Amino acid sequence: MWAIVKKDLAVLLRRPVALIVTIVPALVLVLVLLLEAGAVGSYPVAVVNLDPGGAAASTLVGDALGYNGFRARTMTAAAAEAAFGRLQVAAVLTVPAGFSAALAAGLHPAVTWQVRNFNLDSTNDLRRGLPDVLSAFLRSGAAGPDPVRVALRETDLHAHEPSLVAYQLVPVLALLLLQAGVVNAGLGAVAEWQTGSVKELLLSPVPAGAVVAGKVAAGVLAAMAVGLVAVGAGLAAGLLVPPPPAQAALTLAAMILLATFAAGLGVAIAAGLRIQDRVVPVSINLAFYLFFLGGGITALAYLPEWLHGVARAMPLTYATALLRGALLYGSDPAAGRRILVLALFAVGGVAAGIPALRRGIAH
Amino acid sequence: MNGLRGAAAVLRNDLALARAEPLATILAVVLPLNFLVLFMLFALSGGRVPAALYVPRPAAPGSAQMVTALRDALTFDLRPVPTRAAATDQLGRGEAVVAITVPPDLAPGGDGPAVLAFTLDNENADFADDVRRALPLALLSFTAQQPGGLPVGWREVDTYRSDVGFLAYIAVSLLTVSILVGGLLTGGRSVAGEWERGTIKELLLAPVPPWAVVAGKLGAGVVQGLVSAALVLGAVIAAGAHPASWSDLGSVAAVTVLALVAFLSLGLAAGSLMRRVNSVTPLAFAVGLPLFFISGPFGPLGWSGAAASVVARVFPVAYANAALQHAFHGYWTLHGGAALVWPVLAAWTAAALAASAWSYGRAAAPH
Amino acid sequence: MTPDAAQALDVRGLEKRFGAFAVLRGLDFAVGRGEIYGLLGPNGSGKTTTLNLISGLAEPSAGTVRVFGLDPRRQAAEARRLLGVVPQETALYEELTAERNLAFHAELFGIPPGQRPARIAAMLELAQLTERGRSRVSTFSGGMKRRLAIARALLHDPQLVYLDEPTLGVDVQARRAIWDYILAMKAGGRTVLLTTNYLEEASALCDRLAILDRGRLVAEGTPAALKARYGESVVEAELDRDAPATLLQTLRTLPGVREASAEGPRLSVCIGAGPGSEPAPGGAALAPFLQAVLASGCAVRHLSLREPALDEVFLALTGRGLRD
Repeated sequence: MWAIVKKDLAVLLRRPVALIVTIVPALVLVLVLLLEAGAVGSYPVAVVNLDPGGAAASTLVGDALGYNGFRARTMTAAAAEAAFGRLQVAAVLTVPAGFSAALAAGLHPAVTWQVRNFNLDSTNDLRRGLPDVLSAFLRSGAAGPDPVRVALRETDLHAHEPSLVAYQLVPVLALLLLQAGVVNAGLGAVAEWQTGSVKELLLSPVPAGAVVAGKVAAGVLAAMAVGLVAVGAGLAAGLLVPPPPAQAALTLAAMILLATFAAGLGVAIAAGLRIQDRVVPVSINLAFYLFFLGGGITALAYLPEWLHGVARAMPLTYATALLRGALLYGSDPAAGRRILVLALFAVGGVAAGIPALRRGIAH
Repeated sequence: MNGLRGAAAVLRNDLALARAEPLATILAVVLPLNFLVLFMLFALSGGRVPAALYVPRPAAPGSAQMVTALRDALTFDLRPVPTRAAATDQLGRGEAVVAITVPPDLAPGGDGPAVLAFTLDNENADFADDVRRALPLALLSFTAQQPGGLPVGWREVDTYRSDVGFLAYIAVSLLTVSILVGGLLTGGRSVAGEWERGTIKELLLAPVPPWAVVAGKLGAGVVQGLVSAALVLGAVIAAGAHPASWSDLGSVAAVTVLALVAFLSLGLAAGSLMRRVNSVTPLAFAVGLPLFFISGPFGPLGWSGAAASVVARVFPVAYANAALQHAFHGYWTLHGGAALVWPVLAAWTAAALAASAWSYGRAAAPH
Repeated sequence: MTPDAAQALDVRGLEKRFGAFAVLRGLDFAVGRGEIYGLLGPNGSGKTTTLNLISGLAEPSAGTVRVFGLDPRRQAAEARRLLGVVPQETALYEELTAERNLAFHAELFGIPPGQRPARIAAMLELAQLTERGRSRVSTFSGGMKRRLAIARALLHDPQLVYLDEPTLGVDVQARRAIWDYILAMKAGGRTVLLTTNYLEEASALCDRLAILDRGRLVAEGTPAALKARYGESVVEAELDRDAPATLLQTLRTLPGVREASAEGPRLSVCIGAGPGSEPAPGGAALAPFLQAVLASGCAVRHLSLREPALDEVFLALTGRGLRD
């Protein structure tokens, strides 16, 4: 069995397609998440102050410039109009002339919020932003006593609040493990048919079970190597939090179990399809759907009710939750149950791979 | 005459090959459909925040006003629960992101400040900030209805008459990714396949000029690409976006054909240079996908502040995206509009055609 | 089109260099109409380059190639219609059916649509693939693919057919069938140029042979003439014990003996003149050979004298060193 592990790993290391197929989809996904995080984050906004001498106007402009929900900068009316026309800013906040005086006189002046409403997501972000700025303005007392008579009291479930990128990085890490396991074990198995070396295995005195175990083990090792590098990179970049020893052990166990499930699945797919050109796209797509449906993109709470049931049947759901607990929040109260579920998935994956490869070898 | 006959023969043969092994065509459809699922999930996470709402009974009229203000805060999918414990349970089970308790005594003109308590599953800063930013809007709306109202108001001026849904907006770019990756894959695999299986000799030794082979392969690629694009267009329409008029549908067709020819040509050029299917396939993804994602599928170039948008302006993908957004939603997401977008697309197509003819001609020339 | 040049193929002073490396160094040969002409040579001798130059896929560094009087570079379309090519790798569209492969060739070579079905049917019949015309080529055996590749090359009725290693990797039955096609082509008035590594095949098929080595033509003629000119008689003997080293040394000093070798008790002695000198009759050397053996104290159990094989001519001209 060890001979098969060594041989498969040596072949995989010399096979650029394996590395490309393993890493490129995950890298693309990281890029997507970074861009998506950037796109939904802070939009460029112009602030035009037509009441330059007014104290209240000045406070409001300051609040807008300091707001963390968009990137505001002051402009003249003409410059703002030009920037808006050239799509360089998403919105223009205009404080009208005589704003401060009107406010002092109790005349209820209104600011103008010109919005490029391309789509509801970006537009609603902007629509929520201005009241947030105005709330700060009212709280400052620049408009007299704060008329808002309701206070907000926030209780957070997590002491550490990761960025969206860090949050999304964890399921991408799980996807990477899944992909690396499925693809590498799959390519290792399919190569036997494509190169005809399956005969070498058939004619050797090694039992079929050891062949399967060897291929799965090679897939797991390859996946773990990729996964540990990714965790290391996440820790080095400060996106992930170094877990305490117990959590680190759980993290490692979850990664191994997920990789084992993936490698078993990869062997089963390869034995069924037997052509690299089919195994690669099927593996990538399968891994992606396991990722999508396992809450890879968003928190499960945002998904429709019927998808919750589907997500519960996905190993990635449990791996992601456990890894987020360990690598983002420092603990996961349900870690034990999740490890157990992942172990069942791992057994299931290998159980699917063994008969498929045995049948494949026998044919 | 030899050339046209040869081009027709190559076109027919490539279509027969595509029918026999439709991997590139399948990928050109499956990939955007995968992205549709991805985008739907993005749209879901950018949509309403599931919120467990507890209002102790009996509640004062002011509390009802606050619930309305929360409902109108563009953010929450409010799910009323009978007890505070039920709200906490929903939060614990991951069915809600925030549990909000509206005080029962929010009487208009009450004495001291009332407290609106909320427990937030702050799994990440972005999702949490959506909640944090929505609550002031609710409080301002609530206060505006109270005697005295707000000392300051705001007037929103929207640029376009109606809002386009997030999914309808981002779904349009599915066509772009289908054309981009599908074109690169089909073009690249088509010519690299000839080298790999040795059938390039059949083409080189036939009494037809090299341009005929390129034209035939492009023609077959356009047919396959149009089939894929039609299927993807169906998915885009199902996602809620559709061309505003027949002439806009004509624009969609024009962008599709221009961009297809451009990306097929670039694929053909890559295939002629690399001559290996296993090289051009990952190249199509490795080049196509990042290029797609920096070219403004989620919003106008530059809004995200990414330096990548400068790079994106060099390539035709951003212009194809912009032309499609215009055809579907009637607005230009790229400054310069039609006067910029169409000439850039046409120039890229011409340049890509020249590149494919040159690289195939070079590969086919006697050495 | 009926070409009216005197020669089917005329190659003069052909040279091909890749940088400083010369693949062909002044090749001269001509192939007459209706002739089967074989190009032999070890790997890297320049056979494939020669074929590429003949078909216009490569440009000569010097010299000329004429196919029925046409320049395959400047009159490419006309020359290609006269050429039928069966490359070494069968290079078929394996995802497609045999019929579709032939139909594509027919379309490329401008066979009128009305004539295509009949031509395709005839070629499938020639290749004995009529029953499998609608099967995917990927389901064919190596021999079937080779036959289909030959059928494809003949589809547009070429006047000069070149086959690059036509029987490489096929079984004995398929090889025989391919030989029959090649002989049938000749009978049909076509000119055939083939390369092969099987010297038995060259002997059986070719009217004339050229042996290439390191980019030069080292011999040309009919198989019989080549054997007679360069070959040796071969004396093979089986002794009653292993041949002593001293015997081999003695044998090598005998007049007319060019090579003596032994494997255990089996002794092999090549007798003949070197290139350029008159060949010696093998029988004349038998007596001194036997005397030397007996003098060494060995007894002869079995003795034979045979004509040289083309393999031995080939090895004598190109040496035994591996060329890969």
